[in-house]
Amino acid sequence: MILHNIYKIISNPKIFVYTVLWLMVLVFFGTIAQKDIGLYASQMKYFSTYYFILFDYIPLPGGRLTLIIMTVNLASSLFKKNLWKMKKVGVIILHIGGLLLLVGGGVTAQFSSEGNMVINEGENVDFVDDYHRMELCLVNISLEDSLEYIVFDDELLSEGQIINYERLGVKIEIISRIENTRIQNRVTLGDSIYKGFLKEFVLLPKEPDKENTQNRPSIIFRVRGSDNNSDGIYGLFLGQRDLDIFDFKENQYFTEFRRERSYLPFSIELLDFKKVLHPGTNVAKSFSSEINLIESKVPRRVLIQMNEPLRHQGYTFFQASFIEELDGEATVLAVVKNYGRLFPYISSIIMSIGLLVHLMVNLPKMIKKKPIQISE
Amino acid sequence: MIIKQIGILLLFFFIACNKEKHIRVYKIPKANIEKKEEISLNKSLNKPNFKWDKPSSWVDVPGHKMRIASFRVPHQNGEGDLSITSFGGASGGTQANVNRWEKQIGLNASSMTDINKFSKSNIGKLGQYKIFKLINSNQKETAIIASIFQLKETTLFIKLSISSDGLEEMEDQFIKFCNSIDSSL
Repeated sequence: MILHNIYKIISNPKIFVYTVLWLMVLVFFGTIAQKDIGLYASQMKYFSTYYFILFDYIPLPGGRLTLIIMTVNLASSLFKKNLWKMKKVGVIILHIGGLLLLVGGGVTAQFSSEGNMVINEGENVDFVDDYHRMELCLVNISLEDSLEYIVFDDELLSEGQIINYERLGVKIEIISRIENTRIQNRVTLGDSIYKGFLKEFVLLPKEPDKENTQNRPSIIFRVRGSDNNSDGIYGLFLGQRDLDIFDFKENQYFTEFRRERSYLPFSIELLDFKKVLHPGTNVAKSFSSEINLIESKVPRRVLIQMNEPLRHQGYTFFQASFIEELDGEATVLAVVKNYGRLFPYISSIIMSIGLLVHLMVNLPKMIKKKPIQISE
Repeated sequence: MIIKQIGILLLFFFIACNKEKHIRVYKIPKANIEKKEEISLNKSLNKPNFKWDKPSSWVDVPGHKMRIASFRVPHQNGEGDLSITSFGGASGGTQANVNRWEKQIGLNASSMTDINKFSKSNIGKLGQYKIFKLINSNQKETAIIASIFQLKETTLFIKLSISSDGLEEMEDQFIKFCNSIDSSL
């Protein structure tokens, strides 16, 4: 009885109407907020979240929670007995199509990734840098023929986290994570607890840029258990070139704080980058990258240009930008891996079929309708 | 039955929360490591060596870890800060660096075409390099004259932060200094 009542509540069609209305409100405020806080922050605050706080104390459902409620409501409505009738077959198909669209959105939100590849002419690259997520690397340089990377994902790098890495017997405590960093010289040399770069510099927060990719994130962490004078507080920032080398258990390591790197099962070599400007301006009319797609050591020549991306093994490579150097050019490819890419197409087709079927089923009834009587 | 199902779900939940899954370990053969990382690593292990002839009035300022060298550059109405830094690869590119300096003195970012227009090419002992003179007429207390040497594996930056009057006074000495820089290897 209780279960029946719960089912009755969650399958109430009014919930669907209200969630659609709430989504419209979110889209409105999310779009307005972009002006002040930027696209990424707005997306995170209103859409990719279960809830958000309005005016510092009113919790409201975010896009993710709203869509979950909508999905549960739509799925549960499919179990209604009075829906499963021949004359409602179009509505059933329409519901399934809508459900598939929402599931596709969930798959995209959960599993998809996006980032970029910067390739200099003549260079070969086989990894993608994430736009937003970071990682902390400990790199062992003492091995004879290889570098060993120990990589800590973004999830472990929030303030206050303690990473107990038993293999090396060290504890890494994240003291501070700064979104956008100002680097300043210390007036006097730092206390001996500060190691490497932090002996002479301090990492200070500064106002984050609206465009998240323009920020320079940094991290300050304390290392314990290295059994020697490598214990202490370290600081790293994105793009730091002057790496600190230190000893851990008879091996030499360096640390790096970089954008999360995903390795591809193939590599891309930039053969030539071409750009065409609108006459008399600096505005790019078109730019293109002639590349070698190298898979199992076999190269295949491909041209990537604006609006003509390369799709390969689930990845899509878009021509996004370029960098001009004194001695050559580099291409910037935006790389997207979207597992839910086909869901919108399939669900749109299913929903169209559903609408057509519904029309066909109801057409005879509509034709048979009594003609309107005109009173004299 | 329901309790069992909830138990299994919770088990999955806790397995999913295992911190170890957020730690990845992999090896890359040294022969395959990217050029940029190799340069960074080599640089950290063995800093690049350069030599130069500086004017006698310039004073060494030790203790800057990120810099190859620093000098106090005195002029008639004060002094400037000259830094020599070197980074692996193209190090963000000319435009990004010039735009960053422009921002530091309150100027709007220039396009690459504009930068090419106002930059000057010069040839010193290290080869060809570019000079960028940045002055903000509304903020005369800080101006920048800088040069970029695009070398085979690294980019060398010489930057003098100084007042606009000081810049005019020291420009020739700065160029002479840049011309004298050479590799000591």
